[in-house]
Amino acid sequence: MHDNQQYILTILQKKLQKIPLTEEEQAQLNEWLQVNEEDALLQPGADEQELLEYLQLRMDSDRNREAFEKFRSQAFTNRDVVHVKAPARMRFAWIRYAAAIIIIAGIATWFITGNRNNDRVVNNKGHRKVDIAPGHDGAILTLANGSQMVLDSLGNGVIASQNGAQVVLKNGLVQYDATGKIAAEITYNTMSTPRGRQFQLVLPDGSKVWLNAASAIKYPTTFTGKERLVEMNGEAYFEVAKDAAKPFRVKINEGLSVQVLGTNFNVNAYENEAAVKTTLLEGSVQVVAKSSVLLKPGEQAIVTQASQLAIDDKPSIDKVMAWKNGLFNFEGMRLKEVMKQLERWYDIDVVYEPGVPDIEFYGELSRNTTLIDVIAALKDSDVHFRIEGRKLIVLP
Amino acid sequence: MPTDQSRNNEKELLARLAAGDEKAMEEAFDAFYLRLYYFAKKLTRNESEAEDIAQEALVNFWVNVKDKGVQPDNTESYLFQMVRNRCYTFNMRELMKAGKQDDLSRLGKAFEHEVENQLMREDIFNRIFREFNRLPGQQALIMKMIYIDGLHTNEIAAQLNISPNNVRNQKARALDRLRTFLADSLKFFLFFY
Repeated sequence: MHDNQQYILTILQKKLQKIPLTEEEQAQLNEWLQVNEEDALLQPGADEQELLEYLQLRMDSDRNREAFEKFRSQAFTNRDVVHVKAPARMRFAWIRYAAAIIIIAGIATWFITGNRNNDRVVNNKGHRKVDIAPGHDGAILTLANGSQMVLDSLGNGVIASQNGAQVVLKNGLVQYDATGKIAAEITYNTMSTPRGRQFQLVLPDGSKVWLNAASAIKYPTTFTGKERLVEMNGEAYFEVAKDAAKPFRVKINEGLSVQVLGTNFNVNAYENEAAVKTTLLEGSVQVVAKSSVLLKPGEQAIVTQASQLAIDDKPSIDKVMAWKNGLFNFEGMRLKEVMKQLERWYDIDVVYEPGVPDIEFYGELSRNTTLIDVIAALKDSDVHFRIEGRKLIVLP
Repeated sequence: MPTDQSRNNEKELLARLAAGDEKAMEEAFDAFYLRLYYFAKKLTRNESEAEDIAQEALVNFWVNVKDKGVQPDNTESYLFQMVRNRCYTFNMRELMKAGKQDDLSRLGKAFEHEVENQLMREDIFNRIFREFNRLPGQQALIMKMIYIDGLHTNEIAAQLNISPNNVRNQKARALDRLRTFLADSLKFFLFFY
């Protein structure tokens, strides 16, 4: 635990044991309680509510009795031996302890600061202060004629007919079904995700594309020419359908494209990142910038803004693919890189106060976590956070 | 943290179970069923499935210890691990049923996170529950009436046939004790950090 928080917790402990506090300590504690109430870092209400429900359940002896009667009638019929796997290795021990401290401190604070009015706690489930929900599935489809559709609100069915192809939405997935009559001219659609949204679509050739937040892909509604050409920005993961006769090409900008046969790979090409990173999982791709390189599975091509091409032969695939697997992976990541990810996923703007050190973070978190829980996990002795509207303020 | 005392109790309980002592199994059931049910409910978000999973884990535990000579090192983690495995299978099947095969790869890690999180919460809550039960005299009952049943001081006084001041005093003493306990828990977790 870090010094500052350690100090607060020591004060809290004294307070709980009714040891008199010095003026300085009292002031520190008041400030901390106030900040935490504002930030809702301790989520007043949520843990206590949970605890009360738990206690209620544990005291429900009728329920236990009923279950035992059922058990009694079953337990004498023999069952097969169950193979029990060894418990999983504790990978996130630090998060677990940090979270435990936060929960206990929260419950302790609740005991200190009163909760005199227990109706408040018992009856209100929604009493969480300012928090920001994580992103979810959704995208904007721009058709050839420029009209736009928001895809998180549509049901299943044909949503548009585009020059010889029908655009079909099924279980949140967009796909293109050729109707047979191929039109002479090629029309393009663009699928784009704003911040706070991700989306998956199937291209007219059957290739699958996962779009991360704040990303876009432009593609023809039918692939007619010698190659299958799409354009993208932001971050996308591709599973390209095999078609040796028609190579697949991803154009990132005028000077950079990825040439593909049939393969799985991830492209991270956010404009506010220092470099475009193409990571190959399976198959083979050729990354073409000023020079070009053929990637082997497990390798990553890094193209800087000055079009310098480099290869990382051992990138962390877990880290690259974390977004598609529903995770944040902050392993060894610097503060500002972490914040860029949060900006895109929570649709927030991050503001840095002077003197914030560029520290490194470790560990993984589910992307299905609200912003408050994420910053609770990231909080550090040298870096603190405050939420104001859709702004996340980073303080030293 | 298991003490030597609780280790010995656990060994003794396992020995009685191995000998087919049904009374011992009833004790084990009472100690674990609701905890396992809570954990399964959190992981599956499905109450009736959680009931089945908790039952099944305890039935298997009984059969394994009594008939198959299984002697888990740690009964608690053995049972929670069984429940964890069953919840994982259940969640996977639900995703398949919903036609969300693509989410299967996501399930693994996100699920492990949730397991970690819920194990930790259940552990803390269980400690607090045990402390709650150790409150002397009427204190536990009064705390239950206040916090769980949401009764007011006067209602409690009337029901227990004691003075409202008595209720307030007992509540204050109970809160004191729980605060001390929480302070010790904080110390425990800080020490580990």
